[in-house]
Amino acid sequence: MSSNNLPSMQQGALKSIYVLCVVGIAASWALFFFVSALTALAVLTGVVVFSAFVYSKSADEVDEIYPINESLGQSEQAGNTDIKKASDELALSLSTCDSNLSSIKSTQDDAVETLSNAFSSLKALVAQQIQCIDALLSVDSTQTQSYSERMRTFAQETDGTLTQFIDSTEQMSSSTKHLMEQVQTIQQAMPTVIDALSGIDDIAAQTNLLALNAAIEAARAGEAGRGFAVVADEVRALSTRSTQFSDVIKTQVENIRSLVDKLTDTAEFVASQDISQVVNAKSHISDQLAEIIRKAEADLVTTKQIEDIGSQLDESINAAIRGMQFGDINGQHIQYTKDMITFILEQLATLNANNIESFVSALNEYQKGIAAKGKNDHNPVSATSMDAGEVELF
Amino acid sequence: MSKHILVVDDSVSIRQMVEMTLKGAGYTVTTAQDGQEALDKCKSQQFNFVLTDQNMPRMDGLTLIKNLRSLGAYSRTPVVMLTTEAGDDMKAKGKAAGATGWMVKPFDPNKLLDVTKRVLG
Repeated sequence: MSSNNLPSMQQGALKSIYVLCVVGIAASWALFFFVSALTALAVLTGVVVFSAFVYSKSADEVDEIYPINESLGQSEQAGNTDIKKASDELALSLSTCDSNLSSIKSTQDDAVETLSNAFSSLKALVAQQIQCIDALLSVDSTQTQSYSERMRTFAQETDGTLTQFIDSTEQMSSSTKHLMEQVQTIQQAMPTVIDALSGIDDIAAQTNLLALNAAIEAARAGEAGRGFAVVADEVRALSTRSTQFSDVIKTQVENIRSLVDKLTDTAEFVASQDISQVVNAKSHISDQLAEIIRKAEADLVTTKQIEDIGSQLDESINAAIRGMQFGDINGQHIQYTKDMITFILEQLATLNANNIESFVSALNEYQKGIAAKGKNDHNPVSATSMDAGEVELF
Repeated sequence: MSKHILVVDDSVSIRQMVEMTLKGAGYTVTTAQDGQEALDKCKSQQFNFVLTDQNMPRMDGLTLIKNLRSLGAYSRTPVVMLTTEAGDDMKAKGKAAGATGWMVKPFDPNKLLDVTKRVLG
């Protein structure tokens, strides 16, 4: 039996299967690209099963109807009913797909908004944290030097000052030793002075004795020795005054000697002071300063690490910003797919046995059809990964 | 005074992420959700740079650029397209409309800042 001789009913069924296959394959490809391979497979399977069902049903009907030789109008009507049924089934599936896509888009928009809000505040918090760390590590906003650098300079300067102080102390100590030597020389000269004063006393005593003898001799000479007696008295008076002066000098020299003794003691005390204590204290302070410098240098390393972490955080947030644009990109994919499904649904609603050819050509030219409704005539998305897109300046 | 940038996109998340990136670099940012709103804002104040999406309801990016170029105040203002579209014919249309540059989504925040710096001179 050639196809030309096929009863109209079977021809109608073949047309239905043809339409089903076209629509099914078109929908499957669309779903495969924009939703998932699984959904596409499911739809494709549905179409195949449904086509088989339509074909077997029409074959049964042919077996029944062919011998009866039904009128042409009746078989066309039956074919039309089948097409209507098939397109209704397809429309139902596509409507479900469309509503699923709407749900996906709305959940995705919501999720992306939540994520982008979270990252906005994360970025702001990171910036705030970096400011706090900066404030903690820098001396004040007008200085570029960090706190640790400042600490290191301070420690180095303090060490220098202490070294100077020790040098001065050592100089003073050696001067004191020299002073003590001179004081000791004076002290050693004191007995000589006292001895000399004793000599003066002896001379005065002898002079006194001499004057007494002279007075006796003058008395024995009588009238002729009267003048000599006066001279002898004067000499004795001089001897007495000489003794008095010698006593005064002796007292003063004794005072001086006792003061020189005290001075010697003091100088010896000062000179004997152990400056090793000061040197020890200095070395102790130097150790602590070295500790401060070590800490400051470790802080500098930590500061550098914090800066590195800051820039790594920045990079991560930038990567997140890039990644989160999937919301917009997939949203456009979904919208384009929805527009396609809506278009197919509209075409399906008009499908009947008489307009199959125009239906197929409308499907083939769906881009024009979508554009006529003010929608995008092509998928606006070019990206196939979340790598940064190209940049071109005209 | 920091440069004032107008960001036009119908996607809330893109507006938010572009705004976050530009504000982080110290720019002042105003946003619009479609070409029409952007055009209205441009008529009432002068922006130093306009960054716009292409596919938007009410008015698309290309129409916005054409409209801006016909305004005296925006004849030389840099306008860069930030879109998912990457076709050469679309780029050619953008160039013909008077766009300063074309960036394909997803954008990298550092690249966006580089472009901003360059077009702002």
